[in-house]
Amino acid sequence: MKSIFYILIAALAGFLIVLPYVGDLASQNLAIKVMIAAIFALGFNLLWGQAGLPSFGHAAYYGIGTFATIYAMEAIDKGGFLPTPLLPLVGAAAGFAFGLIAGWFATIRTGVYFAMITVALAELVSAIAVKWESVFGGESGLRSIRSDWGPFAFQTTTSVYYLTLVWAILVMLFLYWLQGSPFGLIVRGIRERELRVKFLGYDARKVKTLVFAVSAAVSGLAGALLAISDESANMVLFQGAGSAFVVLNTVIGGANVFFGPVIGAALTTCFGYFGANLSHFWMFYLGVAFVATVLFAPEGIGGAIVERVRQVRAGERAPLDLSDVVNLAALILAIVGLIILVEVTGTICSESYRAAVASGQGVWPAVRLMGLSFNPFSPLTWIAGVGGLLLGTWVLLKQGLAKWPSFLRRAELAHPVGTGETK
Amino acid sequence: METVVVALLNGVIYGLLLFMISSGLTLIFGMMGILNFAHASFYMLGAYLAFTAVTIFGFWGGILIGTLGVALIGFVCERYLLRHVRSFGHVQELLLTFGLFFAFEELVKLFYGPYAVAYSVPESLRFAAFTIGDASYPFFRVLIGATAIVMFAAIFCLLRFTRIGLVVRAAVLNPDMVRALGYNVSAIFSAMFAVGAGLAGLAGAMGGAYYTTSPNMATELGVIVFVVVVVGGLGSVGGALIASLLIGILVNAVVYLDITFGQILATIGLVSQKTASDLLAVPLSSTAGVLPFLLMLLVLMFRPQGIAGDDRA
Amino acid sequence: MKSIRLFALAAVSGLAMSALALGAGTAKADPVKVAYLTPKTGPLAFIGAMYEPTVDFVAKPFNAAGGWNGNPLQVTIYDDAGTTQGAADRFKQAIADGARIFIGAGTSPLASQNLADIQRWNQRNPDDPAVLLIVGAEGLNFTGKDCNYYSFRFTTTPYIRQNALAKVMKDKGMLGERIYSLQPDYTMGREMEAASDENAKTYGYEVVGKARHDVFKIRDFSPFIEKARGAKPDTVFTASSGSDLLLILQAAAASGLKTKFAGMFLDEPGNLASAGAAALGGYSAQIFNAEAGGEAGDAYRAAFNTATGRDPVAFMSNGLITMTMLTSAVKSLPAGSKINIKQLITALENNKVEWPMGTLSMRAQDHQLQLPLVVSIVSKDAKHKLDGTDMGFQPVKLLSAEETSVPVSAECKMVRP
Repeated sequence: MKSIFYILIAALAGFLIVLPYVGDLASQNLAIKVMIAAIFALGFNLLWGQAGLPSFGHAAYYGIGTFATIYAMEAIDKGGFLPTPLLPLVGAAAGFAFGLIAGWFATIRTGVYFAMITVALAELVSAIAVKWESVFGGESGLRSIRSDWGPFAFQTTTSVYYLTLVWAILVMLFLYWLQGSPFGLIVRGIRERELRVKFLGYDARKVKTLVFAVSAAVSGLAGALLAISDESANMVLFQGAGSAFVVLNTVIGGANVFFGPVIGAALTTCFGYFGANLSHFWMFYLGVAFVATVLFAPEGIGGAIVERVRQVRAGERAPLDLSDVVNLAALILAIVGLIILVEVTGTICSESYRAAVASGQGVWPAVRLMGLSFNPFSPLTWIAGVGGLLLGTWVLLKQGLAKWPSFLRRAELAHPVGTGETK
Repeated sequence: METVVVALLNGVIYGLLLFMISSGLTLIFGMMGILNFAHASFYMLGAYLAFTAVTIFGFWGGILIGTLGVALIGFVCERYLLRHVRSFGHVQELLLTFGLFFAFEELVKLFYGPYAVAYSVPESLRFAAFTIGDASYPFFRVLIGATAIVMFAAIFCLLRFTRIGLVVRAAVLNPDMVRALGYNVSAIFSAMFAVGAGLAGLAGAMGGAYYTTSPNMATELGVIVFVVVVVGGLGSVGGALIASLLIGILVNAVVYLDITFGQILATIGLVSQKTASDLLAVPLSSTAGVLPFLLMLLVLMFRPQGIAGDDRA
Repeated sequence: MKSIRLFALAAVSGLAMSALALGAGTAKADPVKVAYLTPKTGPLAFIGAMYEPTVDFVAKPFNAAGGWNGNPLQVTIYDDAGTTQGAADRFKQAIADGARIFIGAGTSPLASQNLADIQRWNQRNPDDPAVLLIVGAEGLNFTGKDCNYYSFRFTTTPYIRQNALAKVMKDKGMLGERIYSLQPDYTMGREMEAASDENAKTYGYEVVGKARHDVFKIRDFSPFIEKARGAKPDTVFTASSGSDLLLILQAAAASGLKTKFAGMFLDEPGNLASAGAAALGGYSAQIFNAEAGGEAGDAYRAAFNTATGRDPVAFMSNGLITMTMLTSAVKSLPAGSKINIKQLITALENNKVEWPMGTLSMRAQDHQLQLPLVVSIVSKDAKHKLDGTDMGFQPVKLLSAEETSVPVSAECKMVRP
């Protein structure tokens, strides 16, 4: 059992090292972006998962890291002394400093109020970035160039890839160490029972401010790596989408598992990378995937994997069995059904389709999808779509991969309702 | 004098519109504790549903269908999605609505395309209600204000003076006790969510006609509705009204100020005149959009329970 | 220990994903590859939706007529999702796919990212340069301080449009002497404001007031309208677009402000339908107007409408111009196995293309398109109605490329290899 995992680790390490030799520019760039998203999500999860503080404005710290790094790169280009490989520390420092201030404000309150303060701060930063053209470069943003450092050249994407890889490993080790350190334990203690931690003599407010700042620093470091990779910074970074995606990544991956955010970041980044070129509606699929995760796998993909590993170790299940095959088939069936429904509907609602109908004297042309033709008037199209979606979902629920929602269970459990305890 | 009256009136009417959009959230977020990110989506869906129904049922029919349709969508969301995750806590509910926000926006683009749609106030309703100086006051603006006031009165009276209101308030504070008394608390919560969504739908159906109806309208509305509820105080309908009016008047008033941040700082003596005119030449009037967030920050810091909220914070 | 195993499991999924990446990254061969970077999803999806139909409309007949010595033009649309990060990713993807001709069709931030990527690429790969055709970014910097031998701009600047509007309105006696500037608070708005100031003397008006508003954040523009009313302007200049513009026009119409609005983006799809009667009387500096183009214009409009279901408006016109000038420049190149980018740049600089509005050319000094503009007014008497309304754009005057031209920016110092 154990040996399999070590082999996998070795394979992954080997793969990451040789990737630049087997992959082209695009795949190297994708790997860089996955790592940056993963670092960002890990930093965010320090606050969200470990400390239980819901932030909805983390794009601010990410963006500040990017801008600070661009300024530093410009300074190096003009003869500054900072070594290029240490640039991410600039982003981290900027994120930390800013996170300290923002964290001090935000931790005045808890729960939804905390979330609202982070949103307000992010909106303010975004507005300032738009208005203060002399610092943030206005719409055209700022750009700079990577400088070489001694014998190390940083002109190729491959060099950026290795730099990012090294930093990603360092950040993961640091965060993993932090998680197990006394500080990490206090942070989790605050998440579980703040009052008890206070009784132990800790200043909870200070701890929370500090963890906020560290989270912002890691986010800033991710932003710095983006600056090194893309060599530009733009106020667009501060917009809400950045804050939203990091939440998405973390939740889909699983906030309570250390590597959950990494899984989420890898999946959504790859999905965005390929999905965007395949379908206009990839954001819709992402939204549906997110809702489905929250509904059926509240612990995220990482949580599901942990659960499975636990079952295997306890001898409750085999590592792989027939039900996995069935589940996979059902999942694919459901996804294909959804794709048929969405793509056919989206196509026949589009302007170009209406133009094609008009030029074809009112004949509705078939919709080409996955190498097949779908006639919008044929009931078969809609039966295939709805049927695939329903059948696939039904099998998944029946197999127990996904948890049954309460309204489909025979004996409805009485859930506690009401305001309950807010975090 | 005329300018002041017009500015004040504009502020009040805009405040009332804000109240109209956020009153539903006062019920959902303020009373049930669900930080409903999809509220702005309900506003958008109301506009699109009304736009779709207008061609068949006329303008008023469209508004009715927009309202009821979104109430139904809200009911379905609560009954079949939110209730399922409630046992995992408020953060999970929040995440679900966050996902719904994404999905709804893309869904609208799927059916209606990426451009703004032709949904506007019919010609028969485009007339001036009254004029002050040169400025004429469109009837529909007054109608929006009036609807908001009726909405406020209805919610307030329902919660305060009726038996239903009593049960609802009790169910919010102590659900177990209310359940023990034989009330179906789940049904009460579904109904509340549906009403809250329906109010957003009504606001969307009217606001979408007066302003614009496009797939970005939910994003553009953004989190201002949360600002209103937080500033007003969770669970307080009256507080939400006061907060809306305050924000409305504030963002209206600031537009008339012809000074820059640099000038202010230079007058105090913090920066030199040169820095003021080069680096900090940001006119105060251009900050109307972010002012509500500043206000919210201040309120959260110094009076976290909001203007009229209780001490639950 | 436990977490190491988790890590391994995570790695497996990562491996699978990367394998997929490698498979998808392999390049295809032969045709002239053009990478079209534009937002197709996200809040800016409407921009990509405008450009998309223009690509095939020009590329299809070009390829049917033999393309470049038998090699077809292969235009691939890459979705940058409206973010600068997305734009940077798509650039690298397209480079890996073998494209060296880039069309950057997005907002100013996106075009800036494209330009930064092109600059860096050319700096590092001087033997394998790439060229950028900017379609829709109006910021002055692209032909000002950021002007570049490897980048071309196929649209106007706020200076060009403001100048055209003021010129025609002055000629026809519609401008008046009191001008108000109501601008979105970002680069383009600030430039329109500066242009309004600069041209005051030339066209004999006085700027009686200025205001800037947050972009896509204001619901209610009545205070801005009331403030403008206080200045008693004859004409209001605005570079606002999208819902901002609609809200401004509606607020003005509803409060009975009797003043003319002059802007650049009133003809975006959906605007007329959404603004309704409030749009009537609004002035716009358009790139294409079928009625102004006479028979040729009508024929062009009809052909485009049949193919795509819409009249060419707003940035669709820029998309068409870009594709038309690109194909014509490519056609003029000598046969060979691969396009020589420097030859293509020279061809673009020397190219003169006829299109229904007049002659299009590229100014070699700053790579700014020289194009005719139509100043038109929203009217029910327009020949072609838009968006299913009873309104359309009635041309006031067609300005030739010479008349719209503004001097090369002093900040442009182009380095030619």
